[in-house]
Amino acid sequence: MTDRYEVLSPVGEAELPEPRRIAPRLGRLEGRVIGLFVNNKRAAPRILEAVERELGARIPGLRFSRFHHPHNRELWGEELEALRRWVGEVDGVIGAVGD
Amino acid sequence: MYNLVEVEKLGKPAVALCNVGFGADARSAAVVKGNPALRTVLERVPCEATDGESIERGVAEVIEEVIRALTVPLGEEEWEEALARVAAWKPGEARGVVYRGTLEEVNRYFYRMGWTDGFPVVPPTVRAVEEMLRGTDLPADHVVAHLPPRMGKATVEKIAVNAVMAGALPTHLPVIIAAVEALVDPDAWFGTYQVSTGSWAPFVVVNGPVRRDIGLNCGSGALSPGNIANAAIGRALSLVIRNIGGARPGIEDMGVLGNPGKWSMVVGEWEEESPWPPLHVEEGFSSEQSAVSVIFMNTFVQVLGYGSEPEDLLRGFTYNVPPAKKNATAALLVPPHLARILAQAGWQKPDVVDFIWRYTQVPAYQHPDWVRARRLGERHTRIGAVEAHVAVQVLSRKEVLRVVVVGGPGNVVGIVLGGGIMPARWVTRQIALPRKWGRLVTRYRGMVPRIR
Repeated sequence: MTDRYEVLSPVGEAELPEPRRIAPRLGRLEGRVIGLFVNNKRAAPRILEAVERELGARIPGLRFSRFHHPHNRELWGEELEALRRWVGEVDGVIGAVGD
Repeated sequence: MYNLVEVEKLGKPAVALCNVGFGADARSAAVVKGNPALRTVLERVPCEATDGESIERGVAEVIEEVIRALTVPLGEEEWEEALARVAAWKPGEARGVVYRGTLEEVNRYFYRMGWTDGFPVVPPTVRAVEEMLRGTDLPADHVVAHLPPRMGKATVEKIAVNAVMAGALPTHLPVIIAAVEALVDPDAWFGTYQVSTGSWAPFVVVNGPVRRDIGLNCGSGALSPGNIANAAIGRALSLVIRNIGGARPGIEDMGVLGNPGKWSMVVGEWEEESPWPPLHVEEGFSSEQSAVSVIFMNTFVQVLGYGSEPEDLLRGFTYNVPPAKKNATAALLVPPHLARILAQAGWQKPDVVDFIWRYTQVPAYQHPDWVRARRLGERHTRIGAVEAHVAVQVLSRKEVLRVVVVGGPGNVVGIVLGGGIMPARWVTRQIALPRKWGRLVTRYRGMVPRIR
């Protein structure tokens, strides 16, 4: 039990991307189009419906657009392209994780 | 979260609304994707809520915060906090010798670093890892996969280090490497299972001649502890996932209850005793090839068959799939002598799958879609529209059900169930053996429990 061991690390090397600041904020929401990003968790659509009601009641002229994510992992391929097109049509996005 | 990072990349402000218990998970995902200051608003809506009142209340409580998250610019203090999270994220030294000490000291150090599964590990010395690497012809620095959520590099050497820790033999390494390759196939949905609340563990079926070479248990108690191949291959895979993928319990791995399957869920199909083609042959490989097949599971049901006639044997399956497992990928475990009863009556594996898929039924009121339709008003769904006592099928996807012949004498069948909301499928990968495989097998073949 007194033998000494020199041991290697089991941890996998990983590189983080260079940290980016968040995108510029909107200042005011009046007249904006807010995107609601809906994943396939069962609570997510209801949470975002509530968000739409609460925001709509507070902010005049606010409009909403929905993107329905067919699952809950990172999008790629055509689904990612669809997301990018949709993002081009909105001013900001609220996503409900739904867990 | 990852998709909201994409929104931010496109120059649009994004806000994640998530349950307060998932805040650390959300922040970790933002760090990994290079957007550490991504705004997250923590709500207190009950997890996976279905009642409108608590959802309304939970959202109303934080709506002003949502507005601020969309409108107020990033402050310097907020950015500094985000950078501090990036700095704190580093998981520990990945290169070279990381510690020197006695067996006990090494184990305590590794445990404190979060690198073990709680049991003692074999110290991964340079010599032990070199011996482990005899199990493959791949170079040590070959990257087998990048494992989420940390996207750690699963090099052959790192897999070997974790295999040594797990107590695996060099003859197990090619199976472990093939299993890691299978994990990262998009059809396995590893990245989602890894962090899901459902506590999913890889269930691994090994086929082909390698089973005999490494002494994998395909018979009585194949899922029990006691056999080094079944135990160490699964344990090594679990340590690879932990140490290279980097999902930490309660931070990235949000499994609510956990899963004892994460210790090890590895079996071999008992091909020699089976009347049917083995799983890997069904998946397009030859019987001379060796392969691993993987799904993620969180439920294991085993029951006494309802009789010894074929239909009654199969009722052990059809009456015991939990209706909540409607989207399941599944392994239908049939011991060889029961498989022979079925085969002698003309049943092949696809017939068994079809029967179980077709006749696993419950009254509609027990089906989650029916309950959901009542609560959420989605009466347009097929199951939501039927009367409460009408029988409905549970399993929605026949194409992801597989029969695996495994186990000992006795009228017991088993069902390993995966699924969740992920449309996962079985993934099978060939096991690549090193050129000097025969010599390696000879060296380690004697490593079997005396009880056998």
